[in-house]
Amino acid sequence: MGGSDGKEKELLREVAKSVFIGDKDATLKAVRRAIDSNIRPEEILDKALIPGIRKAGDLYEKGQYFLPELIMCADAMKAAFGILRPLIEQNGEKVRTHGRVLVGTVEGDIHDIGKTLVGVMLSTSGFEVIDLGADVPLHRFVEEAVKNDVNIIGVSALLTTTMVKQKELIELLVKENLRERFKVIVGGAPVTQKWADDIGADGYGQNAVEAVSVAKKLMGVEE
Amino acid sequence: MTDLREKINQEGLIFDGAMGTMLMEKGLEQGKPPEIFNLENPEAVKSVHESYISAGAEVITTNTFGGTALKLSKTELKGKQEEVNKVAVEIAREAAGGKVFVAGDIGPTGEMLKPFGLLDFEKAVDIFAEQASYLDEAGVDLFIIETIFDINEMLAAIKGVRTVSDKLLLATMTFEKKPTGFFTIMGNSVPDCMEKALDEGADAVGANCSIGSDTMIELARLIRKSVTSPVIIQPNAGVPEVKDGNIFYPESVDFFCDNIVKIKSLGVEIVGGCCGTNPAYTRCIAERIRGRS
Repeated sequence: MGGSDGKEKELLREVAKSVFIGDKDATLKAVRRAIDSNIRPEEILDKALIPGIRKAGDLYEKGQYFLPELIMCADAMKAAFGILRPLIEQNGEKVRTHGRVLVGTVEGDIHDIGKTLVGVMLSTSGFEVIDLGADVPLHRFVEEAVKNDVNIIGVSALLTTTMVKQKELIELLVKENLRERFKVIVGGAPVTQKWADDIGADGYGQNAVEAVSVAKKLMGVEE
Repeated sequence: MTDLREKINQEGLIFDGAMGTMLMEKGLEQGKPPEIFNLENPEAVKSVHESYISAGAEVITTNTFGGTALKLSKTELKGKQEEVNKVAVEIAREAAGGKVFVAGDIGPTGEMLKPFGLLDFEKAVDIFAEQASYLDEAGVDLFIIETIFDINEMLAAIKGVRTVSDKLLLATMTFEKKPTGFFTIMGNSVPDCMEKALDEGADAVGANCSIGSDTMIELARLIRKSVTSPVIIQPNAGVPEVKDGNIFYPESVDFFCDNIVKIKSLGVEIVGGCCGTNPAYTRCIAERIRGRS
């Protein structure tokens, strides 16, 4: 394929750039072009999508990107991933993201934004995220976690009255003999490290950036 | 009572402090909407207003922060927006007794506007207009829109209020401090928010909530530089911490009060307290600014 190296790099750069600027249509087009040029799907994921989305996360931390930009980038990433995943699996390989995370806000609690931000930051850092929204019954966390075979369950609670649901979720997992199968991370304004320790959670993040570090640590990913 | 606009221009205005945390001390269960006390325990709401008035507040804020139909629809008060808002104003007016002003409080709907959420701009305008109409009919002296983090939601709220009333309207937003400066979580800059809110019809603009009184000094300076209209600043008593399962706000009365005096000296007309403050904070502000004892 002599001489195609430059073209390959160019195509991958286009994918990374489209994700990074949060242009979903351009991302899909760039990914299709890359596939048509016989670039391996794994390579498109590892060398273009993930670095592109990571750059978006970096800019958020620096205060140059904000929630709307992150949501757009995550949407573009998700759409591209939808094309790549079947191709990768069809090759008999496993998709190498950092892991799959289920996020949601507990029942009785309608606070959505903090949890959404955590979800977006996780996907911008290379995790696959399933967002159940807010006011999620505990049994649904469990059902969806099993159904989607996730690695981590991220439970948000923004009220001191609903944070007890984080404890109840862990108890429910124990009861269903599923506690060992999933890591549980907790967050939300009233939640602290001590609370996380007391209820036996596997991790706690004070903010969305910390939540990503905690998830990476739990999955054995180096920062 | 003197004319409100004149008073703001001549000597400024002192707002009250937090309502929700005060109601919790009076038995409001956490997780319940504070507005439920307008119907179930109006005496408690009235006594909070009275304690702020006796501490020196010149404006009291109705217990209607979560009083849009959309926000209430997710609580047991679903469908009761007219009653919740009107009763709240009656309670406040009774407590005020014509001696202090009553501000009709409007907070976020709790949903994000399109394209990031599901809420249409025009639908949001209608929702805010509905709440404002109840507050207006029940006789508030002015409006305050608070704790908004998306300039588009703020513009919808101002537009909504302006479709039903010409009364004085204060518009305050919530910012975070980033390495690049102060922005809302949606990335709206301070001057942009202030200018747009004034253009849409707000009479005074500023910031509330989210950051403590010390960081607020820096933000207040930036806002003051951005506009020629009156400015309103209402910080939290610090960033909330949790101790033994209870939320508390770390700033002492003196620390908070010193910072309010500094904010006032920047040329900010209207000051008050947000989350975590109580009448002791208001008393200290009134004493320091008005020289009362």
